[in-house]
Amino acid sequence: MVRIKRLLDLFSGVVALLSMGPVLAYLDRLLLPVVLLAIPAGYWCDRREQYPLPTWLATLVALSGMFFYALQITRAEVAIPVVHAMVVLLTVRLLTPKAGRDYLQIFVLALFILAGSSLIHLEISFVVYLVLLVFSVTLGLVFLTVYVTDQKLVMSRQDLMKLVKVGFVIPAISLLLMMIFFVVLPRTRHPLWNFLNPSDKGVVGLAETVQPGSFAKISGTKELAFRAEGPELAPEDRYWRALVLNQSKEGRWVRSDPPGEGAPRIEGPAPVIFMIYPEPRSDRYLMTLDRATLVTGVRHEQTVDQMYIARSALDRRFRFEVRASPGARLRVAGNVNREFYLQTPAEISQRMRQVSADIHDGSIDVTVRIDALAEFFRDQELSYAEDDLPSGPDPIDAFLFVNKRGYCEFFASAYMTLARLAGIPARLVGGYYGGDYNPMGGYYLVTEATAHVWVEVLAGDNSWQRIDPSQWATNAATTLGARDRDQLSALRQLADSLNYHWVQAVVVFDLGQQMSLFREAGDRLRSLRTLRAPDGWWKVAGGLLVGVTLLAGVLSLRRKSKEARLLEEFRSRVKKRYGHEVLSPGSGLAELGDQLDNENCREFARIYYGAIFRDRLLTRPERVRLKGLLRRI
Amino acid sequence: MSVSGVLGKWNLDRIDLRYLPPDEIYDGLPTLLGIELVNRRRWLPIFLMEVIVAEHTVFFPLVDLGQSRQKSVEITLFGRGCQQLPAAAVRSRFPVNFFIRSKGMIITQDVTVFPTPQACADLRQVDPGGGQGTLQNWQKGYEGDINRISDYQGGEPLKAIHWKLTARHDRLKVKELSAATRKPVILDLAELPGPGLELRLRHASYLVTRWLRDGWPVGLKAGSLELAAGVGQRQKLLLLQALAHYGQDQKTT
Repeated sequence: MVRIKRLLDLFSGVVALLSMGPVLAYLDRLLLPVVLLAIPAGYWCDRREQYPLPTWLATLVALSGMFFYALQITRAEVAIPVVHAMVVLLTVRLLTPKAGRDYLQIFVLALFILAGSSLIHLEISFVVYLVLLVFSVTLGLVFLTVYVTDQKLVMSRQDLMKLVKVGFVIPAISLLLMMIFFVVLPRTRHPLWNFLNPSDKGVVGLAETVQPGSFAKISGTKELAFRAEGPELAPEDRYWRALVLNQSKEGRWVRSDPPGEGAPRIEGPAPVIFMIYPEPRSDRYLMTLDRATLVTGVRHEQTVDQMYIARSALDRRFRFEVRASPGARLRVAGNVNREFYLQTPAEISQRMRQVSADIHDGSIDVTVRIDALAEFFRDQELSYAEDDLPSGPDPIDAFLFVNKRGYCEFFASAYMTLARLAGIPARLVGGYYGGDYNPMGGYYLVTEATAHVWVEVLAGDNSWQRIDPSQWATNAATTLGARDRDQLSALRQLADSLNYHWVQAVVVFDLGQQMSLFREAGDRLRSLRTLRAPDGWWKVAGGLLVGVTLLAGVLSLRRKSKEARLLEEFRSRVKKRYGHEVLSPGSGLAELGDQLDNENCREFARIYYGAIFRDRLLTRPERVRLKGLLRRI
Repeated sequence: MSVSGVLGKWNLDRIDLRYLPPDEIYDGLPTLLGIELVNRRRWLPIFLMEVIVAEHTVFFPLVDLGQSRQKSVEITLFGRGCQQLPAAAVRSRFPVNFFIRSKGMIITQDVTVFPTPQACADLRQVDPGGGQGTLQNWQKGYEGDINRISDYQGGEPLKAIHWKLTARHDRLKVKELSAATRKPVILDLAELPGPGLELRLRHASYLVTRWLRDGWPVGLKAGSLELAAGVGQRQKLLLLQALAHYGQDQKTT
């Protein structure tokens, strides 16, 4: 018969030992012997039900230890002091009386310590400790469940083995499922927790035409467009390029295949690298930081006007890398088809023609014309707005001269029309401007609300130069760059970081990375074999200690109970003194006492039956008394 | 978490619960109701099952494959006659106490609740015929020699329990003694003292139990119902059942 509490105490010690194994080499010299002693001492205390520390003193020691190690936490070193503090808590918990939740605390602390050890030093032995700990904690939880249901339960060895078998099934199946999920999860498109709250989000996409004046009011959707992991950028560099529109058709700006140009050359600052994680979308335009020099990680084609178009649909989550020089100029080595970029809409108001004619006639130098056009926009004192927008037959004219309010499409369209009329080759660029930088994740979160249109003009040095007329709005500082600012609270940042890491670590985690992880694990396993003795002996000693404890635990379970051993000794002594024939198979202890007329035998039977017939185990004083009686038989 | 949830669900599947009521249940008196938990599964023993009956909980640590385990719970039923045993539910924290799963068990089992014995004056009437209920020395009683050893049924006096045999078995064992020869007694319900039917029935229950224990062959006359005198446990149950149902058929019809 096995008392369930005894098992629970044994497993607490095993779990504590397994968790501390990987960190033994990093523990303070002062703490190390205390920890090594506390594990067997805790088990001994549990068996005796006597504890060295009263509750108040244990609490004081735990708090002092935590405070001591908390003081050692620095920005450079967090893991080791935190692990030490948890080891102190676990040690104190082992040496104090335990109720149900105390065992749970031991299990949780053990898991935290093992997890903390991975922050200090990670190698393949961690997996071994982890698997052993998962099995031990699960069995411990099963025993704890039995203990919570009936604290005094005594189980037969056969029943216990059945419980242990099922207890082993749980971590075994869990580990098997983990292996399956390891392959399956990287191929899921959404975080698994989304099944609790299914998203009704549709697939987003950029508008492929620009037609200002078609709505009296616009409202930006806060849906996520993409995340871009990389360094933080200056506000004037946060232009994410996707689409180029170059021709006017029925009052709209649309895209037409551009004519061939000479070889482009990017001139600007040193490139930065961004990893882009787009949301599933209906179009195939790849967002890049303006201007990209190299896009990798996705099959695509590049157009002469610096658009990157994926070869397959973007209706799943993936990532690609962009190397870009923010704010650089795109110099074209050969000729540019100027006529193509000077085509204007059919209907243009007289006032606009007049303005452009003035600029055109003012100078033949394109740079001067560009400056003059900028001057005109500033003088108009236009404001950026998303409601009460100009409409009617000529909304651009109304925007420039009557309402003087509009959003980026009005600014860009007006500029484009005036520029082309003034003889400056120009094209519209669609994409996103801004985005919120999440310092927790180190990435930009760009929503559909930041969709933006700006202009590129061909400057005098034959280079395409970005001009954003919206920046000349009188209220640009408070509206344009701040459109999405109020969205990211700290909580939302945290939630978005979780989603981002899910996408990064799981969704786009492909088979190649899995294989490299395996290779890395294999390399570490090989390096383990060449461990130098001074580093390795802790691990060997820790492993031996774990092994010996497990063996002792198994042996103590296989041993006969104290009651059975006492009875065996009783029969042996009776046989020795009175001979074999007195012990008939069916004879009871009391009958034997009467038959032999031995008062010691009678008292032995009385005490022994007193416990057995009351369905309880012998107490310690009873066992001592019985041993005394045995000596006198 | 998922694996433990599935195991917890399986732990409640394909189990049967049976009531094993004692022979004698008296109105308003606590009695031990036997509960048998049966495992009909092929591969998973029943683990850590708590059976809840009438706000009492009985714990079954383990029931092996295809096996059953019995325990008992103290219940009290009120009102004589045919009664349904209380509803039961099972619950389990297995395997790791993350969830406590429970399930109601549908057991429709009726028992007869006898009127509570209430002491009264010893009023006896000897059967004038003397032909019926003639005693033979092998019949059960409480004064003669041991006829046989049997299981405790719930109504036997303490002195009938065979303690030595009980110690060697799981169940209480009682000595069945032969009865001494006595003249039959017919208990007439109408002649019993008391202001109402229920009180007279309780007196009758007391007298039947006491006289039979003393070894008297006892019969019953209650309205149109007449039962011949006899001795033993079967006669006692026959008489008590007649008393339990007396008057209830007329009410319902």
